[in-house]
Amino acid sequence: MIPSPSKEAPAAGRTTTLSEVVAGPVHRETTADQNVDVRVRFSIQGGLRDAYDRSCWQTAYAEHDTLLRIIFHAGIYRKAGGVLDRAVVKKTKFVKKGKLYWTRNPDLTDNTANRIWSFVVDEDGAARVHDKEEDVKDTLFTFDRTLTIPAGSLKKGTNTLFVKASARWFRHTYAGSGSLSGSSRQFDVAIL
Amino acid sequence: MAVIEVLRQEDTPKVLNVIRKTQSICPECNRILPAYVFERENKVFMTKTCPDHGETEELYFGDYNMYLKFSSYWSDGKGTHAPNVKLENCQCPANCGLCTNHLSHTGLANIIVTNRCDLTCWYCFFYVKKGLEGAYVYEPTQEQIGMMVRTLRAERPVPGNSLQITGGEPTLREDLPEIIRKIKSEGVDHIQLNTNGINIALHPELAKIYKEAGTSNLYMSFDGVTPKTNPKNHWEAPHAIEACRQAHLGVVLVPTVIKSINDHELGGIIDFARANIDAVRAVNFQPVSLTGRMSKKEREKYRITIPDCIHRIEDQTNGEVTADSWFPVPSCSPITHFIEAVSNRPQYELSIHFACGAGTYVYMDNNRKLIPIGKFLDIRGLLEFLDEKADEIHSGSNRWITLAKAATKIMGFIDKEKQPEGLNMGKMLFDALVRHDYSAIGQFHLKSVFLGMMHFQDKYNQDEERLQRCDIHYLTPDLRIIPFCSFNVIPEWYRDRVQKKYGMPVEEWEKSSGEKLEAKLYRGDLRKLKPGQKLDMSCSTSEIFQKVSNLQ
Repeated sequence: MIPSPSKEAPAAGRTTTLSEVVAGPVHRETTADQNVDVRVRFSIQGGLRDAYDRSCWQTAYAEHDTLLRIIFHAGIYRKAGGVLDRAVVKKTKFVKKGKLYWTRNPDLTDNTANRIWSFVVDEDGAARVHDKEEDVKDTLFTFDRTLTIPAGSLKKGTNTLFVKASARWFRHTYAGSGSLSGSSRQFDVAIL
Repeated sequence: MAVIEVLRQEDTPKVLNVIRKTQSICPECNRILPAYVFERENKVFMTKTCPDHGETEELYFGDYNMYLKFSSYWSDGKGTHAPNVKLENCQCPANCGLCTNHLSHTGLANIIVTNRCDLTCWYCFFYVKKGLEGAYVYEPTQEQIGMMVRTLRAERPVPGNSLQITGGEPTLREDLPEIIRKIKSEGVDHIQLNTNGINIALHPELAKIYKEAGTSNLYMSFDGVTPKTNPKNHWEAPHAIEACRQAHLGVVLVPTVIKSINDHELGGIIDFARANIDAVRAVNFQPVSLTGRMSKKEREKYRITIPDCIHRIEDQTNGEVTADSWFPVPSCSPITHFIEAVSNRPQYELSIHFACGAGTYVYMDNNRKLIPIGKFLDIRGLLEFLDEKADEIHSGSNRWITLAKAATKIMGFIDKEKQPEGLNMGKMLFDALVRHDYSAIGQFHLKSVFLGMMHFQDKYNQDEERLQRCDIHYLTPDLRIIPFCSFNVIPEWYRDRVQKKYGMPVEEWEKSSGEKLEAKLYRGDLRKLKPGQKLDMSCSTSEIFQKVSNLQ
């Protein structure tokens, strides 16, 4: 069993936030027979992200707490007003994983106190090994995907859309569990 | 002691698409070197440069996309908390035994009970060769074996529970049944007997004797379905399998796969397993480990890796066993983590490196077609789900409520339309994961075959990150537990040294035992002709052999 984070845990007392959810269409106008691609980008900032550093990796690994799963959800909604907002792309789940491992990369193991590193399993299932701590965090804590709307789910003319997004994680030795959500600004897509 | 040669960051070759940097050894002098694992033309290679002996570049994994898929399942294990070698004395791959750096507990322990063999295969490095300088017969006593097994059982947090008796040819030891009973009495549940099967073919009653002594299954060398690819036991294997069938002793077929020698018969081997599905539990392909000094040209001729075998199997089974059916061994970790979370106890975990091994189950339907379980079970989805449930329990959710909820959702990962008739995968998973009742899995085994891959390393492709996670270990009389890929990859530090220390020169053994080493060599008795038989009928009086012949 993974121990609960103590008051001294790296993320304790530090607030984790969701950055602004930035979303916009790749093309503002499109025809009805084509899809609409919307790029969505947001990231986890603060407590959890700051805590997930090399010293934390060392101590977490010693407790066999080696897997941090970040569950992202993102969906595209058409603005109709209040509760009438309708999802045109259902909220979809994307999971990213930070996995701790004992590396034999001589560049990363300068002494015996620093030999644990993290690689990231992207939501497409590919493992990525970065050699800079900040790159690991960027890949793990940033959601950056293009979501596709079937054009048939939009009406002809101008559609006002926005994105609802969230991120969730579970308890670890270095941070408690948490979830955050946010919405993007509205943007228009015209179906010709 | 080897010296670490550390390149500076700016020395990283810029022209390579480097995936990962690790450490390896020089195949000439064993010096520890930085090594780059890189992609080229959709294959993965390793390169390393020794200041004295130059560069060695080697094929590491024959399919880059499969490498990416497999690497996503990388999961470090719990290690072992009762090491024999203290950290300050340890520098992989020197001084193995196990040490505090080692990241996997013993998954399968090997005990060599003799290094004598009744065969003399050209590619084998496990048996004593008479006439060579430094040839020692190594046969630990039953007392030594007992101590070795107790060392295995003392491992924590997970006591070793699975053991392979190996050689040489272990059946040459007449006290083998007593050895098996002794190992069983020390509390080892699973005992596997690694053999070429010849003695069992010659003396079928041995199968029953070994079974009754406590053997769980035979692990039988089987390199192909023709005499050319399998000169070792082509004629004898069907007889050995029949003996095991009668004794209700399961058989695992173990082909060593060598490119250009037998890599065209992988589908045929699976066909042979299908024809004997009531006795054959698994086929474990072992891409060859290239020992001794070999030129790059020779290595390219023989080198084959796990993805290469997987693609050949897809081709040679006419697409029945597709490449996407295979998962790396550590993909089992979410199952272990889920059971650990529910039981709140450390569990047996297969935490080897993702490049070391792979597997899949195939189920034979009523038309005798092999259906990989991934065709009717969403394996990836199920593993994700179990990871999430383990996370929930670790975060404070009630484990029994979480377990109950999980049980109701397991069926959602099974495609009942595609599930073979007569198979209830949902019940099997429920029983195994929720009730910890594995009897249904036993039933599943009767109509299924596990297909596995295990690629042992050699000095050319040796990767310290793989070695550190090895869970196939050797028990030695000095009570060390040595990873396979140290024991056999650097024999001058391990295997040869142990056998010399605890063995005796061949001449001395012959004098004390009163027999010649070569007296036990197999003379091909089952291949000899009876009067009136033609050469191609030499073993064809056997009904089993007819079945094999039909597959060729």
